[in-house]
Amino acid sequence: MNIIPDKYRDLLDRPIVVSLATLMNEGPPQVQPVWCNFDGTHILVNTEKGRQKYRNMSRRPSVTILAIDPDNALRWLEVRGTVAGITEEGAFEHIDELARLYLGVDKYPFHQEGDVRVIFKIVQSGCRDRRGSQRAHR
Amino acid sequence: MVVETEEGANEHIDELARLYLGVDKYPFHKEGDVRVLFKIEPQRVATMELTMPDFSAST
Repeated sequence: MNIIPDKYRDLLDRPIVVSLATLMNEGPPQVQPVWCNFDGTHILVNTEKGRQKYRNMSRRPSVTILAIDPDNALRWLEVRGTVAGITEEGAFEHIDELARLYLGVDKYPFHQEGDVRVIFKIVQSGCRDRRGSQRAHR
Repeated sequence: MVVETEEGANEHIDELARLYLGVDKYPFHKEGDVRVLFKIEPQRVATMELTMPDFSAST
Protein backbone atom coordinates (compact mmCIF):
# COMPACT_ATOMS: atom_id res chain seq x y z
CA MET A 1 0.00 0.00 0.00
CA ASN A 2 1.29 3.42 -0.90
CA ILE A 3 1.10 5.77 2.06
CA ILE A 4 3.24 8.53 0.62
CA PRO A 5 1.09 11.66 0.30
CA ASP A 6 0.69 12.81 -3.31
CA LYS A 7 1.62 16.29 -2.13
CA TYR A 8 5.10 15.09 -1.21
CA ARG A 9 5.64 12.48 -3.90
CA ASP A 10 7.81 14.92 -5.88
CA LEU A 11 10.46 14.63 -3.15
CA LEU A 12 11.01 11.02 -4.25
CA ASP A 13 10.54 11.64 -7.99
CA ARG A 14 12.94 14.54 -8.35
CA PRO A 15 16.70 13.96 -8.39
CA ILE A 16 17.11 14.79 -4.71
CA VAL A 17 19.96 13.14 -2.85
CA VAL A 18 18.19 11.64 0.16
CA SER A 19 19.55 10.54 3.52
CA LEU A 20 19.31 6.83 4.21
CA ALA A 21 19.61 5.68 7.82
CA THR A 22 20.44 2.03 8.42
CA LEU A 23 21.22 0.14 11.59
CA MET A 24 24.70 -1.03 12.40
CA ASN A 25 25.06 -4.35 14.17
CA GLU A 26 25.40 -2.37 17.34
CA GLY A 27 26.03 1.24 18.17
CA PRO A 28 24.68 4.30 16.40
CA PRO A 29 22.78 4.22 13.10
CA GLN A 30 24.65 4.91 9.89
CA VAL A 31 23.34 7.70 7.65
CA GLN A 32 24.44 8.15 4.07
CA PRO A 33 23.42 10.23 1.08
CA VAL A 34 21.93 8.07 -1.67
CA TRP A 35 20.07 8.24 -4.94
CA CYS A 36 16.67 6.61 -4.98
CA ASN A 37 13.44 6.38 -6.92
CA PHE A 38 9.90 5.33 -6.15
CA ASP A 39 8.01 2.78 -8.27
CA GLY A 40 4.64 3.46 -6.68
CA THR A 41 5.06 0.66 -4.16
CA HIS A 42 8.71 0.50 -3.20
CA ILE A 43 11.48 2.99 -2.76
CA LEU A 44 14.45 1.60 -4.66
CA VAL A 45 17.99 2.12 -3.43
CA ASN A 46 20.92 0.82 -5.44
CA THR A 47 24.23 -0.02 -3.82
CA GLU A 48 27.30 -2.14 -4.28
CA LYS A 49 27.50 -5.51 -2.63
CA GLY A 50 29.71 -5.45 0.45
CA ARG A 51 29.25 -1.79 1.35
CA GLN A 52 28.38 -0.94 4.95
CA LYS A 53 24.79 -0.07 4.04
CA TYR A 54 24.50 -3.36 2.16
CA ARG A 55 25.63 -5.26 5.24
CA ASN A 56 23.40 -3.20 7.52
CA MET A 57 20.23 -3.61 5.44
CA SER A 58 20.91 -7.31 4.86
CA ARG A 59 21.16 -7.96 8.58
CA ARG A 60 18.67 -5.45 9.95
CA PRO A 61 15.96 -4.45 7.47
CA SER A 62 14.63 -1.37 9.32
CA VAL A 63 15.51 1.82 7.45
CA THR A 64 14.50 5.46 7.34
CA ILE A 65 14.75 7.81 4.38
CA LEU A 66 14.68 11.58 4.69
CA ALA A 67 14.13 13.73 1.61
CA ILE A 68 14.49 17.49 2.09
CA ASP A 69 13.17 19.85 -0.57
CA PRO A 70 16.30 21.60 -1.89
CA ASP A 71 14.16 24.69 -2.54
CA ASN A 72 12.73 24.85 0.99
CA ALA A 73 14.39 23.05 3.89
CA LEU A 74 11.18 23.41 5.90
CA ARG A 75 9.48 21.02 3.50
CA TRP A 76 10.52 17.41 3.85
CA LEU A 77 9.34 13.84 3.88
CA GLU A 78 10.49 11.12 6.25
CA VAL A 79 9.71 7.55 5.31
CA ARG A 80 10.25 4.72 7.73
CA GLY A 81 10.31 1.35 6.13
CA THR A 82 11.46 -2.19 5.82
CA VAL A 83 13.57 -3.92 3.20
CA ALA A 84 11.07 -6.10 1.34
CA GLY A 85 13.48 -7.48 -1.24
CA ILE A 86 17.12 -7.57 -2.29
CA THR A 87 18.00 -8.39 -5.87
CA GLU A 88 20.89 -8.23 -8.31
CA GLU A 89 18.48 -8.58 -11.21
CA GLY A 90 18.23 -5.37 -13.20
CA ALA A 91 20.56 -3.58 -10.79
CA PHE A 92 22.94 -2.32 -13.50
CA GLU A 93 20.06 -1.03 -15.61
CA HIS A 94 18.64 0.58 -12.50
CA ILE A 95 21.83 2.45 -11.58
CA ASP A 96 22.04 3.71 -15.17
CA GLU A 97 18.42 4.88 -14.86
CA LEU A 98 19.34 6.75 -11.67
CA ALA A 99 22.42 8.22 -13.39
CA ARG A 100 20.11 9.54 -16.13
CA LEU A 101 17.83 11.06 -13.52
CA TYR A 102 20.51 12.47 -11.23
CA LEU A 103 23.35 13.27 -13.62
CA GLY A 104 21.69 13.40 -17.01
CA VAL A 105 24.05 10.79 -18.46
CA ASP A 106 23.26 7.39 -19.96
CA LYS A 107 25.78 5.32 -17.99
CA TYR A 108 26.62 5.35 -14.29
CA PRO A 109 30.13 6.84 -14.43
CA PHE A 110 31.58 5.40 -11.21
CA HIS A 111 31.34 1.71 -12.03
CA GLN A 112 34.47 -0.31 -11.35
CA GLU A 113 35.42 -3.70 -12.74
CA GLY A 114 34.14 -6.40 -10.43
CA ASP A 115 31.48 -4.30 -8.70
CA VAL A 116 28.32 -6.25 -7.99
CA ARG A 117 25.32 -3.95 -7.78
CA VAL A 118 22.21 -4.67 -5.77
CA ILE A 119 18.74 -3.12 -5.57
CA PHE A 120 17.09 -2.81 -2.17
CA LYS A 121 13.32 -2.55 -2.38
CA ILE A 122 12.01 -0.67 0.60
CA VAL A 123 8.37 -0.81 1.58
CA GLN A 124 6.98 1.99 3.70
CA SER A 125 5.75 1.28 7.18
CA GLY A 126 5.33 4.84 8.33
CA CYS A 127 5.59 8.24 6.87
CA ARG A 128 5.40 11.80 8.04
CA ASP A 129 5.83 15.24 6.64
CA ARG A 130 6.98 18.28 8.54
CA ARG A 131 3.71 18.81 10.35
CA GLY A 132 3.28 15.12 11.09
CA SER A 133 -0.11 15.46 9.47
CA GLN A 134 -0.01 12.20 7.59
CA ARG A 135 0.99 9.10 9.38
CA ALA A 136 0.38 5.45 8.92
CA HIS A 137 1.81 2.40 10.52
CA ARG A 138 1.49 -1.15 9.48
CA MET B 1 28.70 10.88 24.89
CA VAL B 2 25.42 12.77 24.92
CA VAL B 3 24.57 15.51 27.42
CA GLU B 4 21.02 16.78 27.71
CA THR B 5 20.23 20.15 29.25
CA GLU B 6 17.55 22.84 29.21
CA GLU B 7 20.05 25.46 30.29
CA GLY B 8 20.74 27.96 27.55
CA ALA B 9 18.52 26.07 25.11
CA ASN B 10 16.37 29.11 24.27
CA GLU B 11 19.43 31.27 23.63
CA HIS B 12 20.90 28.47 21.56
CA ILE B 13 17.90 28.15 19.24
CA ASP B 14 18.02 31.93 18.70
CA GLU B 15 21.70 31.60 17.84
CA LEU B 16 20.86 28.91 15.30
CA ALA B 17 18.03 31.06 13.90
CA ARG B 18 20.59 33.83 13.37
CA LEU B 19 22.87 31.42 11.58
CA TYR B 20 20.24 29.60 9.51
CA LEU B 21 17.62 32.29 8.92
CA GLY B 22 19.44 35.56 9.60
CA VAL B 23 16.92 36.61 12.23
CA ASP B 24 17.45 37.38 15.92
CA LYS B 25 14.65 35.27 17.31
CA TYR B 26 13.63 31.72 16.50
CA PRO B 27 10.29 32.34 14.75
CA PHE B 28 8.56 29.00 15.42
CA HIS B 29 8.49 29.13 19.19
CA LYS B 30 5.14 28.34 20.76
CA GLU B 31 3.90 29.24 24.24
CA GLY B 32 4.78 26.44 26.60
CA ASP B 33 7.45 24.83 24.41
CA VAL B 34 10.34 23.58 26.49
CA ARG B 35 13.53 23.52 24.49
CA VAL B 36 16.32 21.12 25.17
CA LEU B 37 19.92 21.14 24.09
CA PHE B 38 21.67 17.88 23.22
CA LYS B 39 25.43 18.02 23.20
CA ILE B 40 26.83 15.26 21.04
CA GLU B 41 30.46 14.39 21.12
CA PRO B 42 31.67 13.07 17.76
CA GLN B 43 33.10 9.58 18.09
CA ARG B 44 33.63 8.61 14.51
CA VAL B 45 33.67 10.64 11.33
CA ALA B 46 33.46 9.56 7.71
CA THR B 47 33.96 11.79 4.71
CA MET B 48 34.03 11.38 0.96
CA GLU B 49 34.70 13.62 -1.97
CA LEU B 50 34.54 12.47 -5.54
CA THR B 51 35.08 14.81 -8.41
CA MET B 52 32.20 14.74 -10.82
CA PRO B 53 33.42 13.53 -14.24
CA ASP B 54 33.37 16.13 -16.98
CA PHE B 55 30.48 14.85 -19.05
CA SER B 56 30.72 17.62 -21.63
CA ALA B 57 34.13 16.39 -22.80
CA SER B 58 32.79 13.06 -24.08
CA THR B 59 30.17 14.54 -26.40
